[in-house]
Amino acid sequence: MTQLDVTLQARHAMALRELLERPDGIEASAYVMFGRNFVGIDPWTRRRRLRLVSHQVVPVPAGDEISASARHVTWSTASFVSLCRQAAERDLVPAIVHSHPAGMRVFSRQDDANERDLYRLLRNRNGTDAILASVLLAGGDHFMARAWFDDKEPVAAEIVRSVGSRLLHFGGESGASNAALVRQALLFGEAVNNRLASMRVGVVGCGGTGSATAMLLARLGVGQLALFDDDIVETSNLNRLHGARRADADAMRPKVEVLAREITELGLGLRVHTHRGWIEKEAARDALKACDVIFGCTDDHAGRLFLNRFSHFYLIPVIDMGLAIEPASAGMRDMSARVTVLTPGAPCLSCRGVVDPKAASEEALRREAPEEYERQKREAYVRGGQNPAPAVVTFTTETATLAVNELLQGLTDFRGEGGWAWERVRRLDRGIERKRGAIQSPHCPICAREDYWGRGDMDPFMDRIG
Amino acid sequence: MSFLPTADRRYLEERGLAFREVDDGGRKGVILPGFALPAAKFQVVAADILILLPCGYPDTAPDMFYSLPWLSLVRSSRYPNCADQPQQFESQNWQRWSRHNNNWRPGVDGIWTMLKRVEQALQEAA
Repeated sequence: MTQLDVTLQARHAMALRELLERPDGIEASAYVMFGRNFVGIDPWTRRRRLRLVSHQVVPVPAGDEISASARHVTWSTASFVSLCRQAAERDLVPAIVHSHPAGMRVFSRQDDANERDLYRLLRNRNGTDAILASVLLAGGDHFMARAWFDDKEPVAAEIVRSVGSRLLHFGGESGASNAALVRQALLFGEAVNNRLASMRVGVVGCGGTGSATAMLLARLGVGQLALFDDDIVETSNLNRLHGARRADADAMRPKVEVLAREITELGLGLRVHTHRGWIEKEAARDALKACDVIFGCTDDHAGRLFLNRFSHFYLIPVIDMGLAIEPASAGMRDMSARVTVLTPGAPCLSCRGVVDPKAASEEALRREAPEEYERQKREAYVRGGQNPAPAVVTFTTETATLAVNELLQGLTDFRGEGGWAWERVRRLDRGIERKRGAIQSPHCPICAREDYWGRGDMDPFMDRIG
Repeated sequence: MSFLPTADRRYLEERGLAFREVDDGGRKGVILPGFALPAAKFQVVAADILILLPCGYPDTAPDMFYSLPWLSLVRSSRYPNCADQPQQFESQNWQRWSRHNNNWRPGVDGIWTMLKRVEQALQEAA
């Protein structure tokens, strides 16, 4: 059977609360269009997983509601039929949302009967592949969800998440207390440990910053880790690659394997999935799409552009990091660590000027068509490889620490700022840290327009050339 | 084979232009067969135009374009400037037009921008 989880954009969760909240304590309803994130094989459960991501909230038109009380709500199916048509046209999953104002955290028999009827109506119209989702707002602040794949029994969502400037969740299993993490629970509480244990976190790029990030996430008690990297360990990496040894360089071992070995040796109970290869390839897709959060630890422009889109299509926040050591004016070096959160509502990496699109297409050409790349390099159409950048383990590790702390900030608000800073820059040479804003292009297809937010699977993948 | 982003496909369909999407061993391109050329400028009145779409497009910019058959100017009987290099695609040798523009605006530019550049380059060819 397919496993199910649901992610709401925080602004959608807020809109639903407003639409469903009635001062008279009467049940109310709304619709949501979900994008689908279908994971063929979840790397940890080895099963199929459907992850619904909210794309659009659709109010039930005024006058469509037939009757409502504190115990029930009934509405005309005219607007539902129109919703089904749009869902078919745009390959989205329609959902009905209703409230239990008194807070009952269970779908009622009446809900079962209503939804089964609506599911049949949807299936008759859109075909047997159609899926009907249902979201319940219980007591005004607790979300539950489920989906109908057939008219027998609905599948309950394991967890409902809200992604915005905080990472919130409703439901989800609470595991046993981990004795290795009690000192951390003293600060953040057992609930945060449980949350971390249930999380699936991706690390893209397992070099200087990535290896430090992965080790920190492991000791923090993240339960599921996915490591992505194409490279092998080299001698020149040994100054900063956490866990790597001379023998790994001599045996030319993949970085992901070395990290997985070191992390599993810790014996903290986390399960590590490794992917050796380039993240844009289809082979990496299921593992990426199964993550709840991804750390971007690559210095590759093409990879950053990919994750920039990905974070918006799939509502999987990306915490991107970078270490810049550059000569600046007056002989001083600018040494700074940057951490940027990518999620709907935040300025994207293109608008921030962090990625160089020309460098990205050159990297892609070098990877996909090396002969053509060499030819264009001879003709001076591409700029050719850059010199290796300076790297010092304390600086790469500090960058990783700043990034992993941003995850904690999203979970706990330990800084008391109310949520994520979209970008922090720490001047390593001066000991100054600041938040950096950005001017978004009003035309930006990623962060200014909302068409791609929660769009999920589409053809072509992420509406780009892969 | 279909890989064009939604906005590009919509544009080409609305303009009624014939197009073919070709994946040649991972390199992707759009071929516009029988693209009308400026009158009396080249030895033929129409040619196939190829636009290669780089990985990451439309976040990344396309560069240059290609034509088949090779176009030479009626006036001088030679190839236009910077259009004398071959490019292999779909087992054919295309004429490469080295026309560059570093001003690509994500969210604003698309296949329509490239077509304008192609039309302009053909018009100005000398």
